[in-house]
Amino acid sequence: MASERYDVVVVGAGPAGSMAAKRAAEKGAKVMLLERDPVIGSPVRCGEGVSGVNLAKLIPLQERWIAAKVKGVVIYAPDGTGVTIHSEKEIGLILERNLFDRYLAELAAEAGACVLTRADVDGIVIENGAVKGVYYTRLGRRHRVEAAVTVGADGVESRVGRWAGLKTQITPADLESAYQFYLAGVRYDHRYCHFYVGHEVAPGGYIWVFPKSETVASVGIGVAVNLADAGTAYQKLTHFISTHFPDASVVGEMAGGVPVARPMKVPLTDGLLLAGDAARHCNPLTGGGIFTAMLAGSYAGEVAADAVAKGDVSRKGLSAYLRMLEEDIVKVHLRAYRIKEGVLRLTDEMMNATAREVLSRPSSELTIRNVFLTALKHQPRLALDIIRAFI
Amino acid sequence: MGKIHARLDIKADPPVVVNPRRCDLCGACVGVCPADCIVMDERSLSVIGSLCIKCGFCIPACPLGALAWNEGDNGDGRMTNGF
Repeated sequence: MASERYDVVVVGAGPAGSMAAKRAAEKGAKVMLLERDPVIGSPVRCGEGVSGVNLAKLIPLQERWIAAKVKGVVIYAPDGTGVTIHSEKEIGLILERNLFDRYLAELAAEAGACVLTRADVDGIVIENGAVKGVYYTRLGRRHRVEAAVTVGADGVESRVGRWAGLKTQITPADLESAYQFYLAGVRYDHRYCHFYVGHEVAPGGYIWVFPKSETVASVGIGVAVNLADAGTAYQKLTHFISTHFPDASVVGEMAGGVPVARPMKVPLTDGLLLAGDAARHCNPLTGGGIFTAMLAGSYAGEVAADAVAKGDVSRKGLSAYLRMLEEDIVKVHLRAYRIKEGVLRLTDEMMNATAREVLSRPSSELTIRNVFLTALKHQPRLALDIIRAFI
Repeated sequence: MGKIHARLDIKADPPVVVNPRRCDLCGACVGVCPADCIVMDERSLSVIGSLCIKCGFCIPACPLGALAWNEGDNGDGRMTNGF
């Protein structure tokens, strides 16, 4: 078997993996980034919405992978009442993830990482209980990569963590079963992202309509697996489309699983770090995970390179990763998880009443924070979480 | 670990069956499987029958309904709304 040696090997060239590879390479590590699929960024399995303000903190924004910019959101209660919220300081971006993900991998390559597609990681190298690299199969041939640190950024279906003995399984209540269509010929207000909530519309989740252009939209659904049956996501979504956009044409469709769990407490072990969906670094309230995956990946790359330089890749040597995640991701997502639990207790009638109540107030008070404070006013212990989550 | 899987009996008759025409290889079922018995590569997904604990979590996890109990009536291709 062919064998190669690197400082850091990264599994999965999504936003977490490419940022990890980029950061580790920038810090001087010899890095390999392995992607299972033949083309990085494809297939897309994402609603593609991200905060422009956050994204600009990590990379320069490029028009070529931005499909649309939105100035706010419209949230529809189960009875159809729409609440429009404008955002002053935020720019919502809808990406072209196929181009975006490839761009991130190109940044990793420019930083010095070796990037390889069609590399299906099917095992890890373990020595004395520590992860020492991975095995991958490419074009029918098996390879062994020895690395001081392995970064598992292998998505919701992550197996790298499991192989290393980390508990990465998601409970049905903490996984959203998701489906999305790209629809053409859609008549809608493309200046906004639209969200439809309700137990009938999308049990334990929501339906989204995100603009790709004036007439093309991504229309998707997430439903909580514990509240679903086989094919519920697809059935609920096609029902919605047949009533809301009966004249639209399907120009693309994709399935996915979205982890809406608490972040893993310890997404690392000797020689291994997990980042992105693999470590449940996805906002459990919104299902948004692009930015946090990039942030976590970037931290993982930095910690991996530092640990290699210092010669300590044990759990202790990698523990700086936990401190870096704590403030930006863990605290934020635990708060979001508590709010999600509160939202799940709302009945459709409570959501309808919330929409009517916030619409009766002056438009200056129409903020996301006030919508959640109104919706969850019967659960006052969540007030502080809401205030902190939507400052 | 790949070695271990290669040694297992992959039963011809696992408790859960996959309809490959409906499977989009999204990995949602793999994420929710507590037994690590669903194996996916770039082209296919399969259930290792000897590892399956019959929890059924994977069935509602699939957005397209590609997974079903083996005795079930999966695969008639019938969906609502003409899709």
